[in-house]
Amino acid sequence: MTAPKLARRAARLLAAEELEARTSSTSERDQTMEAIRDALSRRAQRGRRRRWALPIGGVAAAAALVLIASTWSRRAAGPVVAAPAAPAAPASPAVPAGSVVAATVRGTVFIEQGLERLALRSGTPVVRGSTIVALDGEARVVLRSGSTVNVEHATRASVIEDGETERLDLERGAVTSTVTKRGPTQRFLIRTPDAEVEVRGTIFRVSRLEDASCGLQTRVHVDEGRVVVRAAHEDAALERGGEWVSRCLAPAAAVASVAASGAVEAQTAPSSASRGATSPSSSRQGPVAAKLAPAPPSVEPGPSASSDLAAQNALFADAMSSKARGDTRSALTSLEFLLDKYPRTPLREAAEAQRMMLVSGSDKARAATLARGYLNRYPHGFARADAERILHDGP
Amino acid sequence: MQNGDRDAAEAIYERLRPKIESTVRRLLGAGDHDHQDCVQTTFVEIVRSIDRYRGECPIEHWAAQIAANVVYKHIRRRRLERRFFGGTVRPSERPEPISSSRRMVARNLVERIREKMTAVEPQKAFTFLLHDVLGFDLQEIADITGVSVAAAQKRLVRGRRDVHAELARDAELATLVDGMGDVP
Repeated sequence: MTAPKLARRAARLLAAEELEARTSSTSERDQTMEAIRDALSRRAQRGRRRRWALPIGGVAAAAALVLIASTWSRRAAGPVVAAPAAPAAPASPAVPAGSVVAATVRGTVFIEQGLERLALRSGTPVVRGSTIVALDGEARVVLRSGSTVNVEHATRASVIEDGETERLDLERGAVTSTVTKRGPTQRFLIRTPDAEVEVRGTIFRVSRLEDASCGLQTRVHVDEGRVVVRAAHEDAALERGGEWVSRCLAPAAAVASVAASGAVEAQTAPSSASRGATSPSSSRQGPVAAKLAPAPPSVEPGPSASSDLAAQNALFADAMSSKARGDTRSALTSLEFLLDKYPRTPLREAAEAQRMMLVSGSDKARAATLARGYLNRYPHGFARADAERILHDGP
Repeated sequence: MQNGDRDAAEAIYERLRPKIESTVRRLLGAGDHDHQDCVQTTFVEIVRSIDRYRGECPIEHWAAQIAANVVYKHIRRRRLERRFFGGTVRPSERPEPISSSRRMVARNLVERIREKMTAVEPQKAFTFLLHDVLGFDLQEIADITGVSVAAAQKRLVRGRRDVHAELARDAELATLVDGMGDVP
Protein backbone atom coordinates (compact mmCIF):
# COMPACT_ATOMS: atom_id res chain seq x y z
CA MET A 1 0.00 0.00 0.00
CA THR A 2 1.43 3.35 -0.98
CA ALA A 3 0.27 6.41 0.85
CA PRO A 4 -0.87 9.06 -1.63
CA LYS A 5 2.12 11.24 -2.35
CA LEU A 6 0.84 14.45 -0.80
CA ALA A 7 -0.31 12.63 2.34
CA ARG A 8 3.08 10.98 2.64
CA ARG A 9 4.91 14.25 2.28
CA ALA A 10 2.53 16.00 4.64
CA ALA A 11 3.14 13.27 7.22
CA ARG A 12 6.86 13.77 6.88
CA LEU A 13 6.50 17.51 7.29
CA LEU A 14 4.37 17.01 10.38
CA ALA A 15 6.80 14.47 11.78
CA ALA A 16 9.76 16.72 11.06
CA GLU A 17 8.05 19.69 12.66
CA GLU A 18 10.38 21.03 15.26
CA LEU A 19 8.70 21.20 18.56
CA GLU A 20 10.31 23.90 20.59
CA ALA A 21 10.72 22.77 24.13
CA ARG A 22 7.50 23.99 25.63
CA THR A 23 8.53 25.60 28.83
CA SER A 24 6.02 24.59 31.42
CA SER A 25 5.24 27.37 33.80
CA THR A 26 6.06 26.73 37.44
CA SER A 27 2.39 26.46 38.30
CA GLU A 28 1.76 23.93 35.52
CA ARG A 29 4.70 21.88 36.70
CA ASP A 30 3.56 22.05 40.30
CA GLN A 31 0.03 21.06 39.41
CA THR A 32 1.20 18.10 37.37
CA MET A 33 3.60 16.99 40.10
CA GLU A 34 0.82 17.23 42.65
CA ALA A 35 -1.47 15.16 40.43
CA ILE A 36 1.24 12.51 40.11
CA ARG A 37 1.82 12.49 43.88
CA ASP A 38 -1.93 12.09 44.47
CA ALA A 39 -2.08 9.18 42.08
CA LEU A 40 0.94 7.60 43.77
CA SER A 41 -0.67 8.02 47.19
CA ARG A 42 -3.86 6.35 46.03
CA ARG A 43 -1.76 3.58 44.61
CA ALA A 44 0.07 3.11 47.90
CA GLN A 45 -3.28 2.96 49.77
CA ARG A 46 -4.54 0.29 47.41
CA GLY A 47 -1.31 -1.65 47.94
CA ARG A 48 -1.76 -1.50 51.76
CA ARG A 49 -5.33 -2.79 51.44
CA ARG A 50 -4.06 -5.63 49.29
CA ARG A 51 -1.36 -6.46 51.82
CA TRP A 52 -4.04 -6.81 54.50
CA ALA A 53 -6.25 -8.82 52.22
CA LEU A 54 -3.51 -11.29 51.40
CA PRO A 55 -2.93 -12.69 54.90
CA ILE A 56 -6.66 -13.02 55.45
CA GLY A 57 -7.02 -14.82 52.14
CA GLY A 58 -3.98 -16.91 52.99
CA VAL A 59 -5.45 -18.03 56.32
CA ALA A 60 -8.68 -18.98 54.62
CA ALA A 61 -6.82 -20.89 51.93
CA ALA A 62 -4.71 -22.69 54.52
CA ALA A 63 -7.83 -23.68 56.47
CA ALA A 64 -9.40 -25.00 53.31
CA LEU A 65 -6.27 -27.00 52.52
CA VAL A 66 -6.21 -28.55 56.01
CA LEU A 67 -9.87 -29.48 55.64
CA ILE A 68 -9.31 -31.06 52.24
CA ALA A 69 -6.19 -32.90 53.42
CA SER A 70 -7.94 -34.31 56.48
CA THR A 71 -10.93 -35.41 54.42
CA TRP A 72 -8.59 -37.02 51.92
CA SER A 73 -6.60 -38.92 54.54
CA ARG A 74 -9.80 -40.19 56.23
CA ARG A 75 -11.10 -41.44 52.87
CA ALA A 76 -7.78 -43.04 51.93
CA ALA A 77 -7.51 -44.81 55.27
CA GLY A 78 -11.09 -46.00 55.36
CA PRO A 79 -12.27 -49.46 54.36
CA VAL A 80 -13.78 -48.25 51.12
CA VAL A 81 -11.16 -46.50 49.10
CA ALA A 82 -12.59 -44.10 46.61
CA ALA A 83 -10.49 -43.54 43.53
CA PRO A 84 -9.25 -39.99 43.42
CA ALA A 85 -10.46 -37.85 40.59
CA ALA A 86 -8.29 -38.16 37.53
CA PRO A 87 -5.92 -35.28 37.01
CA ALA A 88 -7.05 -32.69 34.53
CA ALA A 89 -4.54 -33.80 31.95
CA PRO A 90 -1.65 -36.20 31.66
CA ALA A 91 1.41 -34.16 32.36
CA SER A 92 4.11 -34.47 29.78
CA PRO A 93 7.11 -36.19 31.37
CA ALA A 94 9.42 -33.56 29.97
CA VAL A 95 7.41 -30.74 31.44
CA PRO A 96 8.10 -29.49 34.94
CA ALA A 97 4.86 -29.35 36.88
CA GLY A 98 3.31 -25.97 37.45
CA SER A 99 5.00 -24.07 34.70
CA VAL A 100 4.42 -23.18 31.10
CA VAL A 101 7.08 -24.55 28.79
CA ALA A 102 7.81 -25.11 25.17
CA ALA A 103 7.64 -28.90 24.90
CA THR A 104 8.78 -29.27 21.32
CA VAL A 105 10.21 -26.75 18.93
CA ARG A 106 10.94 -27.21 15.26
CA GLY A 107 12.51 -24.65 12.92
CA THR A 108 13.10 -21.01 13.74
CA VAL A 109 11.06 -19.89 16.71
CA PHE A 110 11.89 -17.02 19.04
CA ILE A 111 10.60 -16.03 22.42
CA GLU A 112 10.40 -12.38 23.37
CA GLN A 113 10.61 -11.58 27.05
CA GLY A 114 10.63 -7.89 27.79
CA LEU A 115 13.17 -6.37 25.46
CA GLU A 116 15.01 -9.64 24.95
CA ARG A 117 14.51 -12.01 22.06
CA LEU A 118 15.90 -15.50 22.43
CA ALA A 119 15.77 -18.65 20.37
CA LEU A 120 13.06 -20.90 21.77
CA ARG A 121 14.27 -24.39 22.64
CA SER A 122 12.46 -27.46 23.89
CA GLY A 123 12.07 -27.18 27.64
CA THR A 124 12.35 -23.37 27.70
CA PRO A 125 9.99 -21.89 30.30
CA VAL A 126 7.45 -19.50 28.82
CA VAL A 127 6.73 -16.91 31.46
CA ARG A 128 3.60 -14.82 31.52
CA GLY A 129 3.85 -11.88 29.14
CA SER A 130 6.20 -13.69 26.76
CA THR A 131 5.55 -13.64 23.07
CA ILE A 132 6.29 -16.62 20.89
CA VAL A 133 7.33 -15.69 17.38
CA ALA A 134 7.32 -18.71 15.07
CA LEU A 135 8.94 -17.71 11.81
CA ASP A 136 9.45 -20.75 9.62
CA GLY A 137 9.08 -23.22 12.47
CA GLU A 138 6.48 -24.26 15.00
CA ALA A 139 6.29 -24.95 18.71
CA ARG A 140 4.12 -26.94 21.09
CA VAL A 141 3.56 -25.19 24.37
CA VAL A 142 2.25 -27.01 27.42
CA LEU A 143 0.32 -24.87 29.87
CA ARG A 144 0.03 -25.33 33.63
CA SER A 145 -3.27 -27.17 33.28
CA GLY A 146 -1.78 -29.65 30.84
CA SER A 147 -3.54 -28.08 27.87
CA THR A 148 -1.34 -27.78 24.82
CA VAL A 149 -1.10 -25.11 22.21
CA ASN A 150 0.55 -25.73 18.87
CA VAL A 151 1.93 -22.48 17.57
CA GLU A 152 2.13 -22.83 13.82
CA HIS A 153 4.63 -21.20 11.51
CA ALA A 154 4.37 -17.47 10.69
CA THR A 155 2.62 -16.88 14.00
CA ARG A 156 2.97 -14.35 16.77
CA ALA A 157 1.18 -15.24 20.00
CA SER A 158 1.59 -14.08 23.60
CA VAL A 159 0.91 -15.87 26.88
CA ILE A 160 -1.09 -13.26 28.79
CA GLU A 161 -2.45 -15.26 31.72
CA ASP A 162 -1.34 -18.63 33.00
CA GLY A 163 -3.28 -19.19 36.22
CA GLU A 164 -6.88 -20.26 36.70
CA THR A 165 -7.52 -18.37 33.54
CA GLU A 166 -5.22 -19.30 30.73
CA ARG A 167 -5.20 -16.74 27.97
CA LEU A 168 -3.26 -16.33 24.78
CA ASP A 169 -3.38 -13.35 22.48
CA LEU A 170 -2.99 -14.23 18.82
CA GLU A 171 -1.70 -11.34 16.79
CA ARG A 172 -1.33 -13.25 13.53
CA GLY A 173 -0.83 -16.79 12.28
CA ALA A 174 -2.56 -19.84 13.73
CA VAL A 175 -2.63 -21.92 16.90
CA THR A 176 -4.27 -25.27 17.52
CA SER A 177 -5.22 -25.93 21.13
CA THR A 178 -6.00 -29.15 22.97
CA VAL A 179 -7.70 -28.07 26.15
CA THR A 180 -8.10 -30.25 29.21
CA LYS A 181 -11.37 -30.42 31.09
CA ARG A 182 -11.98 -27.20 32.95
CA GLY A 183 -13.04 -26.80 36.54
CA PRO A 184 -15.79 -24.34 37.43
CA THR A 185 -13.31 -21.52 37.96
CA GLN A 186 -10.95 -22.38 35.16
CA ARG A 187 -11.06 -20.65 31.83
CA PHE A 188 -9.19 -20.99 28.60
CA LEU A 189 -9.29 -18.08 26.21
CA ILE A 190 -7.70 -17.10 22.95
CA ARG A 191 -8.06 -13.52 21.88
CA THR A 192 -7.48 -11.97 18.50
CA PRO A 193 -7.99 -8.29 17.76
CA ASP A 194 -11.54 -8.93 16.64
CA ALA A 195 -12.71 -12.01 18.55
CA GLU A 196 -12.42 -13.91 21.79
CA VAL A 197 -12.71 -17.69 21.89
CA GLU A 198 -13.49 -19.53 25.11
CA VAL A 199 -13.61 -23.28 25.50
CA ARG A 200 -14.34 -26.06 27.93
CA GLY A 201 -12.34 -29.16 27.04
CA THR A 202 -11.89 -29.39 23.33
CA ILE A 203 -9.57 -29.33 20.35
CA PHE A 204 -9.86 -26.32 18.16
CA ARG A 205 -7.84 -24.11 15.87
CA VAL A 206 -7.83 -20.33 15.79
CA SER A 207 -6.13 -18.60 12.92
CA ARG A 208 -5.64 -15.01 11.98
CA LEU A 209 -4.49 -15.03 8.41
CA GLU A 210 -4.81 -12.84 5.41
CA ASP A 211 -7.61 -13.50 3.05
CA ALA A 212 -7.31 -12.46 -0.59
CA SER A 213 -10.36 -10.24 -0.42
CA CYS A 214 -10.75 -9.36 3.25
CA GLY A 215 -7.34 -8.87 4.75
CA LEU A 216 -6.63 -10.34 8.19
CA GLN A 217 -9.48 -12.51 9.36
CA THR A 218 -9.99 -14.63 12.44
CA ARG A 219 -11.16 -18.16 11.75
CA VAL A 220 -12.13 -20.76 14.37
CA HIS A 221 -12.51 -24.44 13.61
CA VAL A 222 -13.64 -26.94 16.26
CA ASP A 223 -12.36 -30.51 16.05
CA GLU A 224 -13.84 -31.74 19.30
CA GLY A 225 -16.04 -30.37 22.05
CA ARG A 226 -17.69 -26.99 22.20
CA VAL A 227 -16.40 -23.47 21.79
CA VAL A 228 -17.90 -20.06 22.37
CA VAL A 229 -16.80 -17.24 20.10
CA ARG A 230 -17.42 -13.65 21.10
CA ALA A 231 -16.97 -10.93 18.52
CA ALA A 232 -18.00 -7.31 18.35
CA HIS A 233 -21.50 -7.88 17.07
CA GLU A 234 -22.19 -11.53 17.67
CA ASP A 235 -21.66 -14.47 19.95
CA ALA A 236 -21.57 -17.94 18.51
CA ALA A 237 -21.47 -21.44 19.99
CA LEU A 238 -19.64 -23.92 17.81
CA GLU A 239 -20.00 -27.68 18.08
CA ARG A 240 -17.67 -30.33 16.72
CA GLY A 241 -16.86 -29.62 13.08
CA GLY A 242 -18.19 -26.07 13.27
CA GLU A 243 -16.36 -23.14 11.82
CA TRP A 244 -16.61 -19.39 12.39
CA VAL A 245 -15.07 -16.64 10.34
CA SER A 246 -14.86 -13.01 11.41
CA ARG A 247 -16.50 -10.35 9.32
CA CYS A 248 -14.81 -9.17 6.20
CA LEU A 249 -13.65 -5.70 7.10
CA ALA A 250 -10.67 -4.53 5.11
CA PRO A 251 -9.37 -4.80 1.61
CA ALA A 252 -6.46 -7.19 1.51
CA ALA A 253 -4.33 -4.84 -0.48
CA ALA A 254 -4.37 -2.50 2.45
CA VAL A 255 -3.69 -5.14 5.04
CA ALA A 256 -0.51 -6.26 3.32
CA SER A 257 1.22 -3.31 4.87
CA VAL A 258 0.07 -3.84 8.42
CA ALA A 259 3.50 -3.54 9.87
CA ALA A 260 5.18 -1.49 7.23
CA SER A 261 5.41 2.23 7.20
CA GLY A 262 6.66 5.06 5.05
CA ALA A 263 8.15 4.27 1.71
CA VAL A 264 8.39 0.60 2.40
CA GLU A 265 4.68 0.26 2.12
CA ALA A 266 5.04 0.55 -1.61
CA GLN A 267 7.16 -2.54 -1.57
CA THR A 268 5.05 -5.01 0.34
CA ALA A 269 4.39 -8.28 -1.37
CA PRO A 270 1.07 -8.95 -3.01
CA SER A 271 -1.40 -9.71 -0.27
CA SER A 272 -2.49 -12.89 -1.94
CA ALA A 273 0.96 -14.21 -1.25
CA SER A 274 0.93 -13.44 2.40
CA ARG A 275 -1.43 -16.06 3.68
CA GLY A 276 -0.11 -18.56 6.15
CA ALA A 277 -1.26 -21.83 7.69
CA THR A 278 -0.01 -24.82 5.87
CA SER A 279 -0.02 -27.25 8.72
CA PRO A 280 -1.95 -30.48 8.31
CA SER A 281 -4.63 -29.15 10.58
CA SER A 282 -5.18 -26.16 8.36
CA SER A 283 -6.76 -28.25 5.67
CA ARG A 284 -9.34 -29.63 8.03
CA GLN A 285 -12.86 -28.56 7.27
CA GLY A 286 -15.66 -29.45 9.55
CA PRO A 287 -18.68 -31.20 8.07
CA VAL A 288 -20.94 -28.51 9.43
CA ALA A 289 -19.82 -24.93 9.04
CA ALA A 290 -21.52 -22.50 11.35
CA LYS A 291 -22.68 -19.81 8.98
CA LEU A 292 -22.57 -16.94 11.37
CA ALA A 293 -20.76 -14.47 9.24
CA PRO A 294 -20.62 -13.93 5.51
CA ALA A 295 -17.67 -16.20 4.90
CA PRO A 296 -15.62 -15.04 1.96
CA PRO A 297 -14.69 -17.55 -0.71
CA SER A 298 -11.35 -18.05 0.91
CA VAL A 299 -9.23 -21.05 0.24
CA GLU A 300 -6.48 -22.26 2.51
CA PRO A 301 -3.14 -21.74 0.85
CA GLY A 302 -1.13 -24.30 -0.98
CA PRO A 303 1.76 -26.01 0.70
CA SER A 304 5.11 -24.59 -0.24
CA ALA A 305 5.26 -21.39 -2.30
CA SER A 306 2.58 -19.61 -0.31
CA SER A 307 4.00 -20.78 2.99
CA ASP A 308 7.38 -19.38 1.96
CA LEU A 309 5.77 -16.09 1.15
CA ALA A 310 3.84 -16.16 4.39
CA ALA A 311 7.07 -16.77 6.27
CA GLN A 312 8.73 -13.90 4.38
CA ASN A 313 5.85 -11.60 5.19
CA ALA A 314 5.93 -12.72 8.79
CA LEU A 315 9.64 -11.97 9.02
CA PHE A 316 9.21 -8.55 7.50
CA ALA A 317 6.16 -7.74 9.59
CA ASP A 318 8.02 -8.92 12.66
CA ALA A 319 10.95 -6.65 11.84
CA MET A 320 8.62 -3.67 11.44
CA SER A 321 6.84 -4.48 14.64
CA SER A 322 10.17 -4.69 16.50
CA LYS A 323 11.21 -1.41 14.95
CA ALA A 324 8.00 0.24 16.09
CA ARG A 325 8.71 -0.96 19.62
CA GLY A 326 12.16 0.55 19.44
CA ASP A 327 13.81 -2.86 19.45
CA THR A 328 16.36 -2.27 16.70
CA ARG A 329 18.34 -5.40 17.42
CA SER A 330 15.38 -7.74 16.94
CA ALA A 331 14.33 -5.82 13.86
CA LEU A 332 17.77 -6.29 12.33
CA THR A 333 17.82 -9.98 13.28
CA SER A 334 14.55 -10.56 11.43
CA LEU A 335 15.58 -8.52 8.39
CA GLU A 336 18.93 -10.27 8.09
CA PHE A 337 17.31 -13.64 8.54
CA LEU A 338 14.84 -12.75 5.78
CA LEU A 339 17.57 -11.59 3.40
CA ASP A 340 19.80 -14.59 4.08
CA LYS A 341 17.14 -17.23 3.91
CA TYR A 342 15.09 -15.80 1.04
CA PRO A 343 17.54 -13.92 -1.19
CA ARG A 344 14.98 -13.71 -4.00
CA THR A 345 12.16 -12.44 -1.84
CA PRO A 346 9.94 -9.78 -3.39
CA LEU A 347 10.44 -7.89 -0.14
CA ARG A 348 14.17 -7.65 -0.75
CA GLU A 349 14.32 -3.98 -1.65
CA ALA A 350 12.12 -2.99 1.26
CA ALA A 351 14.12 -5.17 3.64
CA GLU A 352 17.42 -3.78 2.41
CA ALA A 353 16.16 -0.23 2.75
CA GLN A 354 14.92 -0.85 6.28
CA ARG A 355 18.16 -2.53 7.28
CA MET A 356 20.18 0.36 5.89
CA MET A 357 18.07 2.88 7.82
CA LEU A 358 18.25 0.90 11.04
CA VAL A 359 22.01 0.42 10.79
CA SER A 360 22.54 4.13 10.05
CA GLY A 361 21.49 4.88 13.60
CA SER A 362 24.39 2.99 15.12
CA ASP A 363 27.06 2.13 12.55
CA LYS A 364 27.60 4.78 9.90
CA ALA A 365 30.40 2.89 8.11
CA ARG A 366 28.27 -0.21 7.63
CA ALA A 367 25.28 1.91 6.72
CA ALA A 368 27.35 3.56 3.97
CA THR A 369 28.31 0.14 2.60
CA LEU A 370 24.69 -0.96 2.65
CA ALA A 371 23.63 2.32 1.00
CA ARG A 372 26.13 1.81 -1.82
CA GLY A 373 24.87 -1.75 -2.29
CA TYR A 374 21.30 -0.50 -2.36
CA LEU A 375 22.04 2.18 -4.97
CA ASN A 376 23.90 -0.33 -7.16
CA ARG A 377 20.99 -2.73 -7.11
CA TYR A 378 18.19 -0.19 -7.19
CA PRO A 379 19.47 2.98 -8.84
CA HIS A 380 15.92 4.32 -9.00
CA GLY A 381 14.69 2.64 -5.82
CA PHE A 382 12.20 4.27 -3.52
CA ALA A 383 14.83 4.71 -0.80
CA ARG A 384 17.37 6.33 -3.10
CA ALA A 385 17.15 9.66 -1.29
CA ASP A 386 17.78 7.96 2.06
CA ALA A 387 20.73 6.02 0.65
CA GLU A 388 22.23 9.16 -0.82
CA ARG A 389 21.78 11.00 2.44
CA ILE A 390 23.56 8.22 4.33
CA LEU A 391 26.45 8.35 1.85
CA HIS A 392 26.52 12.12 2.06
CA ASP A 393 26.64 12.07 5.86
CA GLY A 394 29.44 9.55 5.61
CA PRO A 395 30.96 7.35 8.31
CA MET B 1 6.21 3.94 41.09
CA GLN B 2 4.61 0.54 41.59
CA ASN B 3 4.90 0.93 45.35
CA GLY B 4 3.21 4.30 45.25
CA ASP B 5 6.32 6.12 46.42
CA ARG B 6 5.46 9.85 46.31
CA ASP B 7 9.11 10.72 45.92
CA ALA B 8 9.06 9.03 42.52
CA ALA B 9 6.88 11.84 41.16
CA GLU B 10 9.72 14.06 40.10
CA ALA B 11 11.65 11.26 38.41
CA ILE B 12 8.54 10.18 36.50
CA TYR B 13 7.81 13.73 35.49
CA GLU B 14 11.30 14.51 34.29
CA ARG B 15 11.75 11.28 32.40
CA LEU B 16 8.43 11.11 30.61
CA ARG B 17 7.48 14.74 30.15
CA PRO B 18 9.34 15.34 26.83
CA LYS B 19 7.73 12.35 25.13
CA ILE B 20 4.27 13.04 26.54
CA GLU B 21 4.45 16.74 25.70
CA SER B 22 5.54 16.09 22.13
CA THR B 23 2.90 13.40 21.58
CA VAL B 24 0.11 15.56 22.94
CA ARG B 25 1.30 18.53 20.97
CA ARG B 26 1.57 16.65 17.69
CA LEU B 27 -1.95 15.32 18.15
CA LEU B 28 -3.63 18.45 19.46
CA GLY B 29 -1.65 20.97 17.48
CA ALA B 30 0.42 23.85 18.76
CA GLY B 31 -0.98 26.09 21.45
CA ASP B 32 -4.08 24.09 22.20
CA HIS B 33 -5.54 25.28 25.48
CA ASP B 34 -6.25 21.71 26.61
CA HIS B 35 -2.64 20.67 26.20
CA GLN B 36 -1.78 20.84 29.88
CA ASP B 37 -4.94 18.98 30.95
CA CYS B 38 -4.04 16.13 28.63
CA VAL B 39 -0.46 16.00 29.87
CA GLN B 40 -1.62 15.88 33.47
CA THR B 41 -4.24 13.22 32.80
CA THR B 42 -1.64 11.15 31.00
CA PHE B 43 0.64 11.16 34.03
CA VAL B 44 -2.21 10.10 36.30
CA GLU B 45 -3.16 7.31 33.88
CA ILE B 46 0.45 6.13 33.79
CA VAL B 47 0.61 5.83 37.57
CA ARG B 48 -2.73 4.05 37.66
CA SER B 49 -1.89 1.52 34.98
CA ILE B 50 1.82 0.94 35.47
CA ASP B 51 1.06 -2.71 36.29
CA ARG B 52 0.05 -3.21 32.71
CA TYR B 53 3.46 -2.15 31.42
CA ARG B 54 5.20 -5.39 30.53
CA GLY B 55 8.56 -4.01 29.56
CA GLU B 56 8.13 -5.00 25.95
CA CYS B 57 9.00 -1.56 24.69
CA PRO B 58 10.73 1.52 26.08
CA ILE B 59 8.61 3.11 28.78
CA GLU B 60 8.57 6.35 26.79
CA HIS B 61 6.84 4.58 23.92
CA TRP B 62 4.30 3.09 26.29
CA ALA B 63 3.74 6.52 27.83
CA ALA B 64 3.20 7.95 24.35
CA GLN B 65 0.53 5.33 23.74
CA ILE B 66 -1.25 6.36 26.90
CA ALA B 67 -0.94 10.02 25.93
CA ALA B 68 -2.45 9.26 22.53
CA ASN B 69 -5.30 7.41 24.22
CA VAL B 70 -5.92 10.32 26.58
CA VAL B 71 -5.96 12.79 23.69
CA TYR B 72 -8.26 10.54 21.69
CA LYS B 73 -10.77 10.37 24.54
CA HIS B 74 -10.42 14.06 25.14
CA ILE B 75 -11.13 14.91 21.53
CA ARG B 76 -14.15 12.67 21.45
CA ARG B 77 -15.45 14.23 24.63
CA ARG B 78 -15.19 17.82 23.67
CA ARG B 79 -16.32 17.17 20.10
CA LEU B 80 -14.45 20.09 18.70
CA GLU B 81 -13.93 18.35 15.48
CA ARG B 82 -12.88 21.43 13.66
CA ARG B 83 -10.45 22.63 16.24
CA PHE B 84 -8.22 19.80 17.17
CA PHE B 85 -5.64 20.28 14.50
CA GLY B 86 -4.56 23.64 15.70
CA GLY B 87 -7.47 25.88 14.90
CA THR B 88 -7.27 27.35 18.36
CA VAL B 89 -3.74 28.63 18.16
CA ARG B 90 -3.65 32.00 19.78
CA PRO B 91 -1.23 34.42 18.20
CA SER B 92 0.63 34.93 21.44
CA GLU B 93 1.20 31.20 21.74
CA ARG B 94 2.63 30.71 18.30
CA PRO B 95 6.29 29.78 18.38
CA GLU B 96 8.73 32.58 17.75
CA PRO B 97 9.98 32.83 14.17
CA ILE B 98 13.27 31.14 13.56
CA SER B 99 16.07 32.15 11.33
CA SER B 100 16.23 29.40 8.75
CA SER B 101 13.92 30.28 5.90
CA ARG B 102 13.42 26.64 4.96
CA ARG B 103 12.29 25.87 8.49
CA MET B 104 9.99 28.83 8.38
CA VAL B 105 8.47 27.66 5.13
CA ALA B 106 8.09 24.18 6.63
CA ARG B 107 6.41 25.59 9.71
CA ASN B 108 4.06 27.65 7.65
CA LEU B 109 3.25 24.59 5.59
CA VAL B 110 2.61 22.56 8.71
CA GLU B 111 0.09 25.09 9.92
CA ARG B 112 -1.64 25.10 6.56
CA ILE B 113 -1.64 21.31 6.43
CA ARG B 114 -3.21 21.14 9.88
CA GLU B 115 -5.83 23.62 8.78
CA LYS B 116 -6.66 21.48 5.75
CA MET B 117 -6.85 18.41 7.94
CA THR B 118 -9.73 19.89 9.88
CA ALA B 119 -11.86 19.00 6.86
CA VAL B 120 -10.97 15.32 7.23
CA GLU B 121 -13.13 13.17 9.46
CA PRO B 122 -11.44 13.32 12.90
CA GLN B 123 -11.08 9.59 13.45
CA LYS B 124 -9.43 9.12 10.08
CA ALA B 125 -7.19 12.14 10.55
CA PHE B 126 -6.27 10.97 14.05
CA THR B 127 -5.36 7.51 12.76
CA PHE B 128 -3.27 9.09 10.01
CA LEU B 129 -1.40 11.17 12.61
CA LEU B 130 -0.89 8.21 14.93
CA HIS B 131 0.50 5.97 12.20
CA ASP B 132 2.30 8.18 9.73
CA VAL B 133 3.45 10.97 12.02
CA LEU B 134 3.93 9.36 15.41
CA GLY B 135 4.87 5.89 14.15
CA PHE B 136 2.40 3.76 16.11
CA ASP B 137 1.62 0.44 14.47
CA LEU B 138 -1.91 -0.66 13.70
CA GLN B 139 -2.23 -2.89 16.74
CA GLU B 140 -1.29 0.02 18.98
CA ILE B 141 -3.69 2.31 17.16
CA ALA B 142 -6.41 -0.28 17.57
CA ASP B 143 -5.69 -0.36 21.32
CA ILE B 144 -5.62 3.43 21.57
CA THR B 145 -8.82 4.04 19.66
CA GLY B 146 -10.67 0.93 20.83
CA VAL B 147 -11.33 -0.58 17.42
CA SER B 148 -10.16 -3.70 15.62
CA VAL B 149 -6.92 -3.70 13.66
CA ALA B 150 -8.90 -4.04 10.47
CA ALA B 151 -10.95 -0.94 11.32
CA ALA B 152 -7.79 0.99 12.18
CA GLN B 153 -6.32 -0.10 8.86
CA LYS B 154 -9.41 1.09 7.04
CA ARG B 155 -9.30 4.46 8.79
CA LEU B 156 -5.65 4.84 7.93
CA VAL B 157 -6.15 4.11 4.25
CA ARG B 158 -9.10 6.47 4.03
CA GLY B 159 -7.38 9.08 6.18
CA ARG B 160 -4.40 9.17 3.84
CA ARG B 161 -6.65 9.35 0.82
CA ASP B 162 -8.69 12.20 2.32
CA VAL B 163 -5.62 14.14 3.46
CA HIS B 164 -4.19 13.80 -0.02
CA ALA B 165 -7.47 14.97 -1.55
CA GLU B 166 -7.73 17.98 0.77
CA LEU B 167 -4.19 19.06 0.00
CA ALA B 168 -4.62 18.48 -3.71
CA ARG B 169 -7.66 20.75 -3.68
CA ASP B 170 -5.41 23.70 -2.87
CA ALA B 171 -3.13 23.85 -5.91
CA GLU B 172 -0.67 26.28 -4.35
CA LEU B 173 -0.33 24.30 -1.15
CA ALA B 174 -0.03 21.04 -3.06
CA THR B 175 2.82 22.47 -5.10
CA LEU B 176 4.57 23.71 -1.97
CA VAL B 177 4.18 20.39 -0.15
CA ASP B 178 5.37 18.56 -3.20
CA GLY B 179 8.25 20.96 -3.57
CA MET B 180 9.46 20.31 -0.05
CA GLY B 181 10.28 16.77 -1.17
CA ASP B 182 10.85 14.17 1.46
CA VAL B 183 11.91 16.35 4.34
CA PRO B 184 14.10 16.67 6.22
